[in-house]
Amino acid sequence: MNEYFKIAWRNIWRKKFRTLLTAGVAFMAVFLSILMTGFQLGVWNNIIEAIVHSYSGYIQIHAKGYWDDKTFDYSMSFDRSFQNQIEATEHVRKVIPRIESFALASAGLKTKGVIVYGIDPEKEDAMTKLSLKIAKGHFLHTDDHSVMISGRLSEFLNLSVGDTLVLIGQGYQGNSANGLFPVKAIIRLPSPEFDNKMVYMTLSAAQDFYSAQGRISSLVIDIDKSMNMKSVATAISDKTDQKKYEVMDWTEMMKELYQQYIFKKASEIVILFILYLIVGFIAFGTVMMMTNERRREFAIMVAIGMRKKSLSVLVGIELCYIMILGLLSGIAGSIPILYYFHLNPIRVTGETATAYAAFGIDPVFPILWQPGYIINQGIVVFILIIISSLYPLWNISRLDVSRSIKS
Amino acid sequence: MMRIILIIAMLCISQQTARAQEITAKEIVKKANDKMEGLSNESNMTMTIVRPTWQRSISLKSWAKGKELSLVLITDPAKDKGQTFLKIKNEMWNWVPGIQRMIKLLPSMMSQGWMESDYTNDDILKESSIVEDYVHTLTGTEKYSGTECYIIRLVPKPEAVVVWGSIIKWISKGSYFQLRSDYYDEDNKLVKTETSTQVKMMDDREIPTYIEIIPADKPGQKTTVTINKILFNKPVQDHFFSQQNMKTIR
Repeated sequence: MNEYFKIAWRNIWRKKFRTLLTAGVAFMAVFLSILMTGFQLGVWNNIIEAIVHSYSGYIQIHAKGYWDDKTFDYSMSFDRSFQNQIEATEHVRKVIPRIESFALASAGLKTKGVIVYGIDPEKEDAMTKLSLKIAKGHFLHTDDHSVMISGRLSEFLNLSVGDTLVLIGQGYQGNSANGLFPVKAIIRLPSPEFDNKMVYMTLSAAQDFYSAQGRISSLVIDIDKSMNMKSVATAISDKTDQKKYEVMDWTEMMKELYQQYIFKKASEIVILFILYLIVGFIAFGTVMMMTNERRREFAIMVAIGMRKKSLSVLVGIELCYIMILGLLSGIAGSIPILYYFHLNPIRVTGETATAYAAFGIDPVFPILWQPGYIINQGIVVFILIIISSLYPLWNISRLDVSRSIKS
Repeated sequence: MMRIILIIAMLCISQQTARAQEITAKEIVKKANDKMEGLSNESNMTMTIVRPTWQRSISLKSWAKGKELSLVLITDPAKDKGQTFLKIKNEMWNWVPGIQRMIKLLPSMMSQGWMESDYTNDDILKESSIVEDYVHTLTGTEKYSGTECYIIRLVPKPEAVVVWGSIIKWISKGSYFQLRSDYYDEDNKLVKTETSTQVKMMDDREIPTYIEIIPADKPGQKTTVTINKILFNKPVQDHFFSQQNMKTIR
């Protein structure tokens, strides 16, 4: 058997051009698909990371049942030791407490339904970079009793920094919530839907307002790398009483974004599929050409006594060598290019850049510097090539020796 | 001769029975209602809202005159203290001192519980209409909680703006206490039951001082009202029931 490998290896270098041509097809396929996927995944990852960071965070812990009914009946108690326990989990960067509830905001004769966020100003800013979105005024500090309101809301209520906002709501355990709050800052949020109705105050101010001392709506968990999300979520689920708490990730909390992501991915797979199809046909064509070219050679070998099966194995191994050559060189060729763009991502300019900046997304087209998809692409292309090399094997088995020698 | 005496006797007896049946269902209800309200009243009450996982008590002072005017001041707990509610005819206002705002109750808020209790805003506004807006029928008598009661069925008049399909009341004979009321919606489903117990002497009359409102389909949930003190027919001016007074009353 070893003989076959040696012979096959020598065989392929007999006709360098043919070998390199066939390997070149494999190289192109792998090289292009890796680069394309690298950019696709990179761009999407960038967008998702920015949006997830500024709203729901990657993972949240709530009291069980909270997400379906965001009232204070489903709040959880704010426990330092519990928070420290979560923070100690591997890959967890920060744990941020939040209160999220509803209220009616009023100024003058106008009233509007708003979402009230009770936040820990420092921790919240570290993750969501909220302070960068301030249009007027100053960010909250820890003991503030003022509020920050979103842009469109301030326009509707005709309020600017220093004015008073009236808030009425439904508190914890039937308590009524009402209070006057000075406006400390106006925040411009990129999403018009949110810009219409956000009111930010400190956690303690929110707890006071809603008579919910010592309670929070959710713990937001910031992780170091997005790819660790699933493992962190599982680790936290194991640490917490599943009857009391629910652990959710952004795919469950921001369903529309996730669906957009899936849809985009699906359409990109379709494009990739078309690419593979084309490459597959080219590879097939090349292999077919190569096989037919060597018909006389095969015929003679069979005529002098080599069994057809052995010949098939030999040719099979030759093809494998060529394809692996192409595959490895494709990967090797793409890695330096990926690395270059990893260090110097393409900068986005113009309208796209402004749109990106508004959403807090880094204005770049980066690549994803992870091995996963590179290996995936390699495997897929390899399988494709194996399939297309079935032709020569079939051809050999059907070889009409005498006719081929004469041709 | 005997025949004439018999006829006269029968006429007399029938007259007696007729007079005994003089009191109509409507009058029973009216008597029961007047007993709790008088021409005017001033009271101190505690309302407790009971839920499966928590409980909350509110103390309040209340003034009422006739069927159309009422003013309520919350005295406890501290967060709600100073809030006042004014009812004039079919309209209700709420003064919230914390935000210095007067809020008028909208029709859309009618089905909400007053201060998150099982006593809805609509219930409060339409309390006194049980005499005028309904057709009353005496359907029988029964011993309820050890007391002989009239059982009266109230069905809203066609033009009445009322949420109930029908109400069944158990009103005690003689004392005219509304010991129990079952409220049914238009699909004849029981929505809530009100019971009153703990009869005590208050001012010039005996009345039940402990009222429970129990929603039919919510286990572990009810609202109780305890009348701590009530004075009847103390003279009070109409202008007492005003938005200005809402802001200043203590």
